[in-house]
Amino acid sequence: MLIKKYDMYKKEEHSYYSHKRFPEYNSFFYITTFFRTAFIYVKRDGILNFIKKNKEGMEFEEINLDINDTSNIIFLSESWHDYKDKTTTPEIEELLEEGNFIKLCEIGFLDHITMTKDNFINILFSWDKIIDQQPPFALLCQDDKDWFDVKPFDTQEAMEQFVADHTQK
Amino acid sequence: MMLDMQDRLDHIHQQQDDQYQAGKSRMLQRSERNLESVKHGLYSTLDTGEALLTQMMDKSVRENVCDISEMVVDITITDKAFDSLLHLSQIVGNQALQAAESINQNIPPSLLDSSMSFAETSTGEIIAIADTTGESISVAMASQIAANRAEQSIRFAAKTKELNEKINEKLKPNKKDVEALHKEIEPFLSSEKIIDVERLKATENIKQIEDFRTYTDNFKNLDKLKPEEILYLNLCDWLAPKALEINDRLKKIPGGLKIIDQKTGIEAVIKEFDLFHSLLGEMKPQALANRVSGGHLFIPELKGAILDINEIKQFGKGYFDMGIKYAGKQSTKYKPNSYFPIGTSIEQAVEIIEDAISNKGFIEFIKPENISIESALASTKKTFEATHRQNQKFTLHTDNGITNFYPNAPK
Repeated sequence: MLIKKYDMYKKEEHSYYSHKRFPEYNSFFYITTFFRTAFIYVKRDGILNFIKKNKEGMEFEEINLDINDTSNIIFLSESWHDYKDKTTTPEIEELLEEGNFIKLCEIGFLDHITMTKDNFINILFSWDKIIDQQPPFALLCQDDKDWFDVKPFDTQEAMEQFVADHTQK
Repeated sequence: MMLDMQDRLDHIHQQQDDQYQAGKSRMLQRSERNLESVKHGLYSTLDTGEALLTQMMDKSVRENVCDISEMVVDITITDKAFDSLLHLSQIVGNQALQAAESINQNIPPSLLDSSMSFAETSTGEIIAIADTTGESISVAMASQIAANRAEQSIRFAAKTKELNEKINEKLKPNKKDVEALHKEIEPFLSSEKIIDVERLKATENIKQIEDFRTYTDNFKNLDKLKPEEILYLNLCDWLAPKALEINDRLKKIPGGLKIIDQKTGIEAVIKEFDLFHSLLGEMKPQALANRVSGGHLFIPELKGAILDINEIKQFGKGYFDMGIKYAGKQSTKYKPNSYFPIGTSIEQAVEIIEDAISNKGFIEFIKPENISIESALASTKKTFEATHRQNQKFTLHTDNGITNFYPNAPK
């Protein structure tokens, strides 16, 4: 596995925080927003039950989750708080009325990231483990096959070593 | 003898006179009785018409152009009773006025508040015509609309009852608080009629109300509004003076109300709370989108009117979230929406938020995350998480100082 992009997280009082503040980390931003604000609702139901129950996805206060069941792709997109002031067209208004967030992502109105449904389920299980075990560090990464993962670490050194071992020299 | 004759003649004249006078009086009495009875019937016609007119005039109808109303105006103003009343009776008739009154009682409040004309069709049916839209309402149609409105009200009431039962069973709220809030809101809980159109017209610079102002041409075409939109506007009317008072107080804080993340130094000045979004929620005319955004104060009548509900889960001290979706939307997607404890008043909600903002060591800057601290400092849009002393967290979104907020479910 080769790490294409990563972000290191340190456990703080209430959660894990990244300190990288660059636009290229947008994809991580949507994942961490989901972890921070929406994971509680996944945890309540249990991961598989949540996915089974919310076949179309779910709208949250800070993020939208939409699932295309045919292509097995999930979309994590910005919420009302972020898109409410964007300029719209009649087509966009219609899609907003329909609640067709997938199309709104596809036409570029909503900022978003996509990943496969399998990847999403996998990352939910990984994050669930981190929430339960509360390790001092966590690494969120994207590999060369665009697979997202989050891994626990006991020390910063171990985390950095892992990154060094999996980054193209 | 001559005197006798003269006396007798005088007596006869007097008798004739008395008889004549008596006869005249009887005739007049009879005539007056007849007149009174005619007047009674016609005044009752007039009263009906006058009541109808007064009612319409009270509802800002200034341009009634129907013959019936014009005639009633004329009679009322000039008090030319008899001839005009007879004329009125011939042309209009009690039946017609009753028909008009029946329409008046049953047409949608929106049409009542529009400029209306009454007219008689070729078949003799009285219809009401909305001048702006040309929409006409007959007695039968008005009855149908009234029935629809009643059905809608019953449906809303049933949903509210169901929601209250669900909530009471699950959360066991403080009855005293619930009753106090309900008592305050009750006069505004109409989905059939805008409670005070003039006051709503005078309430300016509130985004949520402005959308409806544009849509209804400054609240003239209220017939366009759906029952849930009427209820929402009435609740906006309830909230508006409170929001004004709260935000006026904020403006008087020297340097403004600041929210600061002490770790990063990122701060924002809160100039105004968007209480309409935060507590009532978003509603745009004719739009289904956004109806699940905001609205973190639990008003069962409003929620019952617009939402379908699924799971309810309590957290913290009386806070809870509820899965919601707009009732008119074909979707399986529910949004978990969080709420202040049931019975929380507007003032209490604001006090809780201000308390969390003053808990300085427990404020975290959240967004925009994907920019440098320098850029974040300069950004007009910022998101913070604040923790109340009772350990309840809140998210606050500030945009050029206008701030909305909601309670967070625990992570």
